[in-house]
Amino acid sequence: MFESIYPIIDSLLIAPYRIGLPALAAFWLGTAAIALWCTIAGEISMGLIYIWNRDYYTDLNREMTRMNNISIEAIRHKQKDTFKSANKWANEYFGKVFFSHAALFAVSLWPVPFAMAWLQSRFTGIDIHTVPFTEFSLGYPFVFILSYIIVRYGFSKIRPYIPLLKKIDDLRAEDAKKAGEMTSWNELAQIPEENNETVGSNSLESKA
Amino acid sequence: MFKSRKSLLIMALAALAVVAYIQPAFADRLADAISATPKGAEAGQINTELAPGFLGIPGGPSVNLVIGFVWAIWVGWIFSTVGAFGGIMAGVGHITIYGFGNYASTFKKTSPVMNKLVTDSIRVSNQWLVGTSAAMSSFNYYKMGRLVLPLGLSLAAGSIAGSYLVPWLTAGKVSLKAYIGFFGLFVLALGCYLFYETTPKGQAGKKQAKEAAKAFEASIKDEKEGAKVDTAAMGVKVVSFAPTKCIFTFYGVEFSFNPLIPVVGGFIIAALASFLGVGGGFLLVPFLTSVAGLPMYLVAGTSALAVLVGMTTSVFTYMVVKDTPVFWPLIGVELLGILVGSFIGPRTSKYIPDVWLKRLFVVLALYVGIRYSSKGFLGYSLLPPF
Repeated sequence: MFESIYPIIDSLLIAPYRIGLPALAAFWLGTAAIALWCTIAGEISMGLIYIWNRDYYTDLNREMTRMNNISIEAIRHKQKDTFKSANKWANEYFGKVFFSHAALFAVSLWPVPFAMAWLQSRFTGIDIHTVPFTEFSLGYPFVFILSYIIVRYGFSKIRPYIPLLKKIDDLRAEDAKKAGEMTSWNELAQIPEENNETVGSNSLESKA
Repeated sequence: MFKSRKSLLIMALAALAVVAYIQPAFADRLADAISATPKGAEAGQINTELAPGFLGIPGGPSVNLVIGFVWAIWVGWIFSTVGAFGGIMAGVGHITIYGFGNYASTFKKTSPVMNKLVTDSIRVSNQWLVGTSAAMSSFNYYKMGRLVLPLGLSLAAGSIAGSYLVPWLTAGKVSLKAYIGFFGLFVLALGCYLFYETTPKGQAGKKQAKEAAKAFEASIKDEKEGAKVDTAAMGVKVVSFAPTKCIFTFYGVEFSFNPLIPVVGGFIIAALASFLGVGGGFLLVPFLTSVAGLPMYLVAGTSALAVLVGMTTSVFTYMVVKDTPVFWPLIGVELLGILVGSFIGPRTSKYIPDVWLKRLFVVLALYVGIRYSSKGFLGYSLLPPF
């Protein structure tokens, strides 16, 4: 099946390289077009997964925020054991939030390796630029990665004008509100100095 | 994760990645490694009569993209539900499921160049799993005063030292058998740790902690203040920094830690990662969250910084200094697997509790661990395939 689709994809991807511009400009344009496809496909995939699982992500954030807030209150009340208990759970939830976000970001990159593989099959060994006064050459990875960053950055600026992505951004803002406000430690600044006590972290507390 | 400042970091990381792809026109690491490896049908030799496999090396393990995809679904599932062990799972996949680690280690004596090249490729394949998004948040955390710079830098220093020193110290001194045995022991240790977490005793500690937190929450409900604060106004103030004791205040509360612990921790993590040919980033966050026991408010920023530094070094080490080849189709298929895993993971978490996913991991870890350590230290595998 893949063998029958590949020529179609290949001809679609190669088309912008052949529109009659000077070779260098055509190469940049064609590669930037691939970067745009990668960005759109990646952002939409990430958005869909977010919508699909938004309750789950919101719950994780809410629990993380709640446990963090309890731990801060515990310090205010000088209850070290409660602080440690709540902090243990806050860290547990943070770990989950961290890695679920890492997975989401990885999802947004899925088209990139395929683009790199296609570019490798088409342009491997071709020097696009040479760094002046050196023997260093720059190939398709340089052009693609630079294009991808610029396109993705530019895309982040026009997101609010794209209906589907705007909707996703609005949902995110809404979910952030639902998760609650994370208590800042600023509130502890009001503790009178004579009441300050060292709240050690178990194994990081100086063992020297 | 999606804040405005991240775009700046994207640009910076991107610039690094671009620099990373500057390649000397005369360098072709893979071709050099193939020509430097003895030819023949023995282990540690390249049999030129066989079909090209991994990275196009004749006789290399053939990469089954379907297995890669299915394994990545499992990785994505773990990533989205249990958390940190997704990275470990990916590492186990690259080393054992595809047989790359085994293949790399056959060249340890006969062709150190080829051994390093395949090992580096496995590591690069694991690197993208590290929380890039978290790295981008470093700047935001720093602005909010949620970053303990000395701690983050200590961790990073340890891991950089480990990445460079360990290959240098172990080069040519570790036999294939020992390498496989140590990898088995590492996975076995992970399995045992996780097994403890799933026992009633391990569960009880967490349950008690949650109940204590809830009881306290109920007791202070009446005096809850909802004052909004400016997080940028005050933050971490380092009071003193000595080799064995760093004291910092956080909004009037004093914390202290021994910087040697994160340095040693970072070093051990990087050493393990270097030695085993896996990325170390997946171990940093669990280290900070469980071993270090810092307040979560600080762990978030500090781990993001450690990941950022670690990732930047990896990019430089593997792409600039060494021109490491990467098998792109496998990475693409794995990312698609993670996509599917991220879709189904949170949906199944209602029906399959974390503890059962962990138990599934324990079974896998015991299998991989026993098989590899027996193969390494006894010379034969106690479990199939023998």
